[in-house]
Amino acid sequence: MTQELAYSMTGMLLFSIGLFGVFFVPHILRRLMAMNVMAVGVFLLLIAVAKRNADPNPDPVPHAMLLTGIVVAISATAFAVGLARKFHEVSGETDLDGEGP
Amino acid sequence: MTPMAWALDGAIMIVMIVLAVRLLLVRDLYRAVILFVVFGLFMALAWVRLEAPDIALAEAAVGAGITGVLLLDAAKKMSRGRGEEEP
Amino acid sequence: MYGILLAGAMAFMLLDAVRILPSEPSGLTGVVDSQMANSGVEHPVTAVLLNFRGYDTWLELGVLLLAVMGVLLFQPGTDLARVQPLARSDAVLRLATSLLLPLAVLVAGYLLWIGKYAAGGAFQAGVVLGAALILLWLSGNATLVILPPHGFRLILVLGFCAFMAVAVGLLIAGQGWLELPPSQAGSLILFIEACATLSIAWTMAALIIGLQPPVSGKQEGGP
Repeated sequence: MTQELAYSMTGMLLFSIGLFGVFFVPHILRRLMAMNVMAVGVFLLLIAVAKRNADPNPDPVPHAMLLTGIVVAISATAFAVGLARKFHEVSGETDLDGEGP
Repeated sequence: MTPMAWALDGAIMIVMIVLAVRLLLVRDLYRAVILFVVFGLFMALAWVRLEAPDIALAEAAVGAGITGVLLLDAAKKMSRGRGEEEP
Repeated sequence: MYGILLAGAMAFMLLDAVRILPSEPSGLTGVVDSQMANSGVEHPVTAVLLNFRGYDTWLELGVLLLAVMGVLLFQPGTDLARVQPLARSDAVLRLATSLLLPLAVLVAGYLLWIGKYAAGGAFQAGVVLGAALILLWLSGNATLVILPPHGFRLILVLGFCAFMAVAVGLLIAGQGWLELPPSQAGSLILFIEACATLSIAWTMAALIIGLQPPVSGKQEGGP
């Protein structure tokens, strides 16, 4: 087992944990956090694969992808939080189970 | 890889997985957000271990600063039930 | 219960998929290294980000712009003038802000400059500067709220537009699409990065501050 493999497996476990959260945790904010955990799992896999390289230096292309990816992920999260807050303001609900008031 | 490095990597991985599970299951929403911020800081450590200092820098600033403010603020507004007015 | 089973099955399949990844390493390091002399910078990540895959980075700045536009549309009025400044906070936070803010601006400038040679660049610098702006706002100062709407919007689109101006300028000068000439690549990258840093910082701050509820008196007068 190499360091890269261990980190890729951690990433995949985090992805599954996040997937569970997205499907089975009711509160919207928690779902958003679970989505971010999923994203982090994918990021870990990408960077771990970038390190499995013939060169001593890691592959810079996935690094550049992730750099923008992190900033885009926080913007998308902020947009989703905005939607969730508006939804809460309008309906008073904190989850999307659809039973309605 | 030395045993020391393995211990460090193992600790980072285990803490990240435990934090991910805890932040989904812990009852208090505030606590979940704080666990998420800590999770982001451990991510920054993981990036440094994977030789990605660029990403570690961005993640530390995003995870520690911006995510915390965003989610704590939203948690304050959204943990109240229906009928309670905002101040 | 059955959710845990589902996630467990997913985890099992993914772990197996990672385990059977081909063992011979592959990557683009060689390709990137062979072109580094033409990139105008010395750090491979910056070279990929701003030169080799500049198109992706440009469109990602567009995604940031879309996100901040979405956030600003949640509330009436598409500028931040409607947002109430927070009440003046306690002396400790204000003192900490006055000490940290110059430091954060310095760090952001340093990160922007060092991106040419080592880890750093527009995204890191922008995020640090954005966090500084948010801290300034949290400590009870008006920050973005008092910016005139036009100036505020101009800074938000600055990074995207600077990139586009460079792309169009290069097309007019007879270069390929976003093909930076090696002799000017360094200064063009620094120009794009400086503009992108400002845009990213303002975007980060606007994403947080734009979610605040509007001033109640102003809202009723609105359309």
